[in-house]
Amino acid sequence: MMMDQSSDISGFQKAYDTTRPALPGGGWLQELRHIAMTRFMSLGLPGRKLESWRYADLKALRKTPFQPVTKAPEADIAAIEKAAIAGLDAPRLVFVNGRFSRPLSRLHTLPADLAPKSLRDVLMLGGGSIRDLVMDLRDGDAFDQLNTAMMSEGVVIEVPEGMQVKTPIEIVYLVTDADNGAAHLRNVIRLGQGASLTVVESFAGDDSRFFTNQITQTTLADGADLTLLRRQHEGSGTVHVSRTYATLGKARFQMASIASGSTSTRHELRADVTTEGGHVGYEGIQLARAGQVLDTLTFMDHAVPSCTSTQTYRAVLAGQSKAAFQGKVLVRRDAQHTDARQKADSLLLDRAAEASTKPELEIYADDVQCAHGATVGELDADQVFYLMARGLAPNEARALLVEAFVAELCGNIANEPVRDAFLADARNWLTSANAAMDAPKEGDQ
Amino acid sequence: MVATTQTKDQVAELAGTYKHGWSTEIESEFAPKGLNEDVIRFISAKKEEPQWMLDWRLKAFAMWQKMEEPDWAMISHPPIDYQDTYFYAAPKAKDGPKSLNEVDPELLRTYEKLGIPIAEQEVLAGVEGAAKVAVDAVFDSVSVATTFRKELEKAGVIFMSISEAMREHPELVRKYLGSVVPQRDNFFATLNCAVFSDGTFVYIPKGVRCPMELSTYFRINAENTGQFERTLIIADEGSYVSYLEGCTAPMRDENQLHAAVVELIALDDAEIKYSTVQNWYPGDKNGKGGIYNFVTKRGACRGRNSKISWTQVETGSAITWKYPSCILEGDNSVGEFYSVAVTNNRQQADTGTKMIHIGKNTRSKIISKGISAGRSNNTYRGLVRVMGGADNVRNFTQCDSLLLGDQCGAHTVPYIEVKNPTAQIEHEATTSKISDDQMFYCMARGLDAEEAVAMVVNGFAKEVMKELPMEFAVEAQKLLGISLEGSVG
Repeated sequence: MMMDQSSDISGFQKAYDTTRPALPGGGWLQELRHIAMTRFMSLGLPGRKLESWRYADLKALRKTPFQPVTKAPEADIAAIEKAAIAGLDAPRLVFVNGRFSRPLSRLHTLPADLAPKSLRDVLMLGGGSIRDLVMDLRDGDAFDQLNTAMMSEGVVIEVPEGMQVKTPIEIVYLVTDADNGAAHLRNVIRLGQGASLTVVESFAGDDSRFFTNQITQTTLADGADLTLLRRQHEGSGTVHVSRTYATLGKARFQMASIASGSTSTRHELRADVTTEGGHVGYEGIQLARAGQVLDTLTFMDHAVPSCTSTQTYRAVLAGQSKAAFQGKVLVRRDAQHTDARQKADSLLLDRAAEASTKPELEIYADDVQCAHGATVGELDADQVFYLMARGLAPNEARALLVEAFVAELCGNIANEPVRDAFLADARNWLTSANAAMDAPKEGDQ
Repeated sequence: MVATTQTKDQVAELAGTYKHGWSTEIESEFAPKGLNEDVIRFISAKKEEPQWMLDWRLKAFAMWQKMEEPDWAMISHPPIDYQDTYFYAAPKAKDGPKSLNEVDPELLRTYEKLGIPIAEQEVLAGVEGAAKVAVDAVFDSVSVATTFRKELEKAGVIFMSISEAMREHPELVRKYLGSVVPQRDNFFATLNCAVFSDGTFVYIPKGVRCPMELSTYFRINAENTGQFERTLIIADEGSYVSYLEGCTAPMRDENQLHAAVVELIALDDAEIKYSTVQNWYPGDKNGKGGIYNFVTKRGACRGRNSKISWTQVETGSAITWKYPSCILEGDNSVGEFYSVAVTNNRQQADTGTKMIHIGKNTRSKIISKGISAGRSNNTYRGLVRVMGGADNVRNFTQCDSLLLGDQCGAHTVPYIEVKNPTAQIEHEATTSKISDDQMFYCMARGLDAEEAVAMVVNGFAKEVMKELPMEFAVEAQKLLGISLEGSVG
């Protein structure tokens, strides 16, 4: 089939060739980029025959030669405020079309020894420590290679040992007036022993065609606690591929994500727990509207004993949309006393919607607690009836139930403005999805 | 008693390749190693098949040559050399053991536990000269079988080898063969289309409830069809049939590669219950030898209110690659899959089911129990797919894994793909081990460790075991315990 052909990626090579002189980094990095690009070209974009990409939609990447953005347009602060979290008094880093914007950012509120750096600056400065900074992804897949070859912007945050950062750090990515542009972002977040940090990312944008290709590498030393919160609501012309690597010792990594943006989205969390007592928590919400393909993949690698992981995924699908969740738990031979739980629920609101779920367990140790559950269905007619009997209109009843379905996952977010923003995202999505659903057909069953 | 009937079945199969058997042309009935068009022509000619059948085989062979062996299952084995394999009635080694004293005592112990009489043990183990005894036994049974056959004929049930059916009921075979598992379906199924040796054909006419449980035992002229078996069962409107396949006694076979195809068709209001006990030779403790079992089993619920139910107890084979599936086309049709898969030592099983919901109000239920021990790997792989037009679909899936020991693996790979909002799909999976408390409780009451494991495992698998017909149930319980011997302590 057409989808599986990898020949149609010459645009990426051209983009690399033209951008190369402008890519930051010294000789060794240039060499690394070159090797990665060669690997990418021979791997090609993953097709549907590749198991982990069977539900993804990368059509747009084959059709459009997205050019890395070298100069971002002017953006006004109002657009940033709209994309950012209301009422959150926090340091803020802003990227417009993938380019870091110092004037729009708000860095002065940060503690002195916690200065996030722009990846570009770090790479430009050179020096031996950068080698350790950039994760070795030589054996990775096509997107690892592409990102390594093209990465030019991102955030580097290093939290020193013992530092407990109370206010979250906010990162806003805005896409505006982008003409087939691409952002290859690499974020590096490292927490020393006993350090703690919360990072909130908000993606937003207009309907221009854009490709966001992000890798976030996080490393947590023993006793560290990192919370990563993502709101992905880019415009309908965007293809969004983001991957988070978490490598942790006896630490706590928590991620919550809400995604309703882009025509085609791929979210990944790949976590390695390397010391006994580590914990990974994941909560993912996908809200799909007509024309969208939203795809999530998680991979929990339990290599050592006595670690825990919990995953909760919920999807709501309206219109002719697709949402997929592939979640894998690997318990290696020595990882006794692992406790891994996974739950995936999908709610279909439309006849044309399609939900796919693949919760996978691969287990090589016997004294473990591993379980997964998955459900797919529509709203319970009895529940809708119950609310209607109390005077709610059909669409109000539906909205309330859907909101409850999604809200349950937001409850664990400790920071109030962030939690409210997640809930508001869900509510906004519902309002527009409801409007779209009520438009063609009146009434309800 | 049941062991006896099952055993006779094997006796019948084994006897076919011995010169004292009741087929006289046996000696010349094997093709040389390797696969080419001539071998296929040879097989077809031996079966006295009509031209259309030969053409069908050749077409499949042409497809197969362009296909690649699938590699997505969680199994690993050295590459199979298809040109170093017998594709038709491979000759049995003539210099078998002289007496039971020479037979692997492990095997004999297993026979004993299953309650197989000495004379039949000899035949099963391939002791020289035992065939004659066995043939007598078979001759005895032939009259029994004939009686059964008469009764079936009275009911209008067609039950014969598929080769016979091609000659006697070509219209039925032509209409349904390959209609559930298309020729191009997958590498192993396509191979089967080209080279299948024989198998079973069953047709239950409209409104008939098959008067007895059918199993290959009742089919006369059963030959050695274990390797590339082809089964076709058609239940016409309003009919019912229960079919038993396999045997609890361990089966040895010189042929390492097995690739069977089973097709079931249920028309309006019809029901097919298909039960399997698979205990092919799993190889020794170190994983040497053992059967590679690549099976394609699929049932089509074509008619309204039809039902297909698969029950399987898989304890044998070095590799099991098998996904008995249901295509639920007819409105209100029902698909069920009950499975117990046990792997021990170096065995690898990748098995599960597919439930494809096409018709409205279709329902499916999947209960899978995987038990891994030793250094084995046991994978459940399943798909539940709901098509856009399938309103009000219900599915419930439960797959539980039990790990015995810390050197084995238990994996669960379920796919859920839903295109209709009225569907209600539920999936649950758990992984656990036998707790020390459970062991202590059993052993405090006088059971030894192995008995305790057998008891807990049988409890774990109870939901599936109760679906087995009476004929199989008792032995299958014993079999679970035997398969896990050596996995504790």
